[in-house]
Amino acid sequence: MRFVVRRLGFFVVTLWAAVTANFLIPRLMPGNPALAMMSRYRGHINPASLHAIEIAFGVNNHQSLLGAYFSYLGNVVRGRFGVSLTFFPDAVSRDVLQALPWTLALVGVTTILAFLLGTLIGLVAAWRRGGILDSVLPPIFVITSAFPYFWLAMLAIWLFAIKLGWLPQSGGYRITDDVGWTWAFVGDAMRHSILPALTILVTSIGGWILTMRNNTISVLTEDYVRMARAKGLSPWRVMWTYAGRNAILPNLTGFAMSLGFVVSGAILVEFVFNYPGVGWMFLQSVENQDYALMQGLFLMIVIAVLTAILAADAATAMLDPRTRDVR
Amino acid sequence: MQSAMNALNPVLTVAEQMRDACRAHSNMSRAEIEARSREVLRLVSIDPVHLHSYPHQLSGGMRQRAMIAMALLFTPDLVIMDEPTSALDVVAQRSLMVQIKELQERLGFAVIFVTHDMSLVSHFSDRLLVMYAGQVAEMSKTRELFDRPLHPYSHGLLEAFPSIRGPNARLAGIPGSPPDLANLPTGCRFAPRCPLVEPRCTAAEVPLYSVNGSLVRCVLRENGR
Amino acid sequence: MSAPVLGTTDRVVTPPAGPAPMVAEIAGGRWGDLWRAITRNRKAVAGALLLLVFVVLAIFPGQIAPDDPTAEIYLPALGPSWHHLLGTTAQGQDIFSQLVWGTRLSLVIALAVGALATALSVLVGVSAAYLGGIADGVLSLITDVILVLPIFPLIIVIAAYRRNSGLFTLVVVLGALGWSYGARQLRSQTLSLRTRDFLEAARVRGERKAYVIVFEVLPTMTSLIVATFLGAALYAVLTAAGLQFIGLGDPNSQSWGTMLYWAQNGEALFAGMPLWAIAPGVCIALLGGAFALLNYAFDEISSPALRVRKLERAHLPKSESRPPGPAPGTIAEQTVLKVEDLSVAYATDGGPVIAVDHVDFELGRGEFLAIVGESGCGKSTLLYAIARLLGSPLPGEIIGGRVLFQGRDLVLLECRAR
Repeated sequence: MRFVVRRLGFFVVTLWAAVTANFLIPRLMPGNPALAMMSRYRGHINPASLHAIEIAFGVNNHQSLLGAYFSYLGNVVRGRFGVSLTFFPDAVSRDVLQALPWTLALVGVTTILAFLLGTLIGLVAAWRRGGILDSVLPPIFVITSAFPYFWLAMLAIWLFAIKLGWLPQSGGYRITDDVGWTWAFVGDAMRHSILPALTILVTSIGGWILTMRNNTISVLTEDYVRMARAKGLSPWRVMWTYAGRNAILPNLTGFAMSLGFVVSGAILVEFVFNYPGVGWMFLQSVENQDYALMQGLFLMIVIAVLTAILAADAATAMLDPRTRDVR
Repeated sequence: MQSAMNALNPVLTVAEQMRDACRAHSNMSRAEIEARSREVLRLVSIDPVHLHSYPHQLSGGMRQRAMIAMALLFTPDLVIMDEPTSALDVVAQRSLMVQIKELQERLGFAVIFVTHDMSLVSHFSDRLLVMYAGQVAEMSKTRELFDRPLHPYSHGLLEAFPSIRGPNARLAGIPGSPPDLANLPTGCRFAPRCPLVEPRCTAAEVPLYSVNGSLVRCVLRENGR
Repeated sequence: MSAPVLGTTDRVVTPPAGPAPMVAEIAGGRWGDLWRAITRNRKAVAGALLLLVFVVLAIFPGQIAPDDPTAEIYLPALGPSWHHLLGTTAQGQDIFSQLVWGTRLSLVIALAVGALATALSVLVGVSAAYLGGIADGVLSLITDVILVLPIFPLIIVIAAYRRNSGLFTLVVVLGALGWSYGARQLRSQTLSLRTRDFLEAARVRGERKAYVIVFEVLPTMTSLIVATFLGAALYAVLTAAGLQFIGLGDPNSQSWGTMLYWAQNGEALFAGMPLWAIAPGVCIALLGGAFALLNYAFDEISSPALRVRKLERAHLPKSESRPPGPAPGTIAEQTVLKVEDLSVAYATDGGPVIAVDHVDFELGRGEFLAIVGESGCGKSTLLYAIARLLGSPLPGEIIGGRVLFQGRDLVLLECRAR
């Protein structure tokens, strides 16, 4: 229980740090870029929305910095991020919620898949030291882990969409489709997601394989693995319950650290594929200097990453009895 | 079975690990396994309530005894132990050794016991096998080796330990360190550290000589004395 | 717990510790050891060579590239030819020249960010561990927060407000946000060092904290610090390229990320100039790969268990054939275990090492045999061999002899099981 409370506390602190960074960054920049944006808004939107944006960027300076900070915190808690310029007159929160399912479906599923597959391959590679899997894969994945995601995305488009014409080159669905839960639409969305998903999978799986392989190798020298073999257990059982289950624990912790990297890559992959998710919208807002939308999306990304890490923590607690005990 | 502090899988309960072992070697039912597990825990005087504990919830001594219990699940003929007491304090070491010895006499299994602590085994073992750099240096009855070590290395090992009976004898270490196995000296492997080294020691590999039923790898015992 | 061959120091023989002079010697020899370890590792050599090529390109671009990278003097969208090794861009610039000139900025960013992030990692990590208490709590919390915050989006947010800012800002932002992973590792490494004898000795000598950290702690962490640098450099290469690619770097600068930005804007892939987009990506991947390979090699060097070693039987000394022992059936009833002429070898970097050398013994029913000796004398290995605990995935292999347990040959059983 203490473990859960401590982790939750940590996430609150992290989230607070992100919100504060969001508040301070525009104020610390020279030449107040937000002011330029505000002048473009004026007259287009209702006063309440304008006020929320003013608070967010500190444009209307009759409030003290501290007062502005608390008003901003209040707005964030109530989900008020102002109005998007790019998708005027949508509220930022609405845009974010629209983009979210696409990203969760693409990046979320791919990341989990990459983690599970990579962990499995890493375990088997370590188990068969010096085998084909073990001698071929690590060097290959050391190299692919250095691939820029977006470049691989470009290559994938060039090869599979342009040269071979097998798959659509961009977007999340055909624009002629009606969006909805029909077989035709879902199937088309799946077809559109194959290339971006493969891109993320190929570039992110290497890291999981390498760390899992190395963890397993060090766990294999532990006495309990020797002991399990001495007990005459089947190799399968030793590999899963004794070596694998212990080796995956540091990998789950590593998940927290590597996730930021995967998300960064995914943002660029969405951008290259014009995939209508959070990352694409984030970069659109950057391009259009739509700061309200940009900051809302940034917080969304932070929350998504933190939630995923929390899930990894829960998995750790499930697999490792030591974390469950009060220490 | 070797046994050390970390020989229990930290993520499984004692019961689960015992069940694993039973399943690998027999087709006992769940209830039978449970009953047998309780029985062997009692043998090593651990309260069976600890069956469903995780290893980190047990003390070091209990973990060692749980390991031994696990080895006893199938009334073995041979129990192999690798420094089972190395992480325990002296009192716990003694009580564990006494318990092992008792179980051995009761159940009649043979024991191979690896340790670097000569004083620990002096009261419990029948025979001693002294190894040096991968080879047998000396193999004798424990009593005989303690009374009259044949190999200078055995002698050195004894000197390095405080005797319980003896008066405040000065403790002498063995100078130098074991040879690099990839780069062995010619002739006797102990020669570079041996206080009694002679020119012929480094001339050729030394065979094992038989001296009154003991085996020793030292040219000084060439004539069986 | 006892590790085969490389045991910890035994209680039997403890060489008298001479802390101060010994540490100096170790620190002096470490660079030499490191150098030998690197040159022996294939991944490290490959990574170092790649890096060297890029360094040469970055220093002498003018001598290698035929053209001014910005000059729009050729026909646009030419295919590869002898004049234009990689063709030309939509603006009529020579792609190969752009690539060569772009090396400098990409490399400078990687090295500068790597250095800055490493310095911060060392500063935060080591002082957190060394100061302890509240200072450690605060520094660790900051480290963890930055570790889990998605850095790249944060950098984008900052860059969005400071468009087209210069190289300096880029390096500072990347460095200031990229140190957390290294700091965490350095902290735990320092914590494990704190109680070592030579540091205790320095403390007893009354050395100042700063002195101890700089002259005693840091030299022992050389390989981890180098690894931190390599990891940070890899992160810098990829992150900077990503930023430049979405147009948040200086679009007029010469770098691979910027090339990709223009290639994407010029629809290079659709307009039949795939090399314009492929070539800079290959360079980024190769430079990143160089850092990743070196980093991975360093991991292997600092933890030898990760290396794959195969026992080369050809190098083993031939075991002289002994007359075969009595057939398994003829063993006395009273014998539980009979070990005959058993030899076990481990593969190491320096070739096979024989840890158990022609050992024979017998064990009677109910007998208590103790095996004694210093760490590394082969006693644990002997046990592992008897308990059939050697061989993949565990290290060590039986190379000769028999182990008869109640008349059955365990070594043969093992061979058949495989």
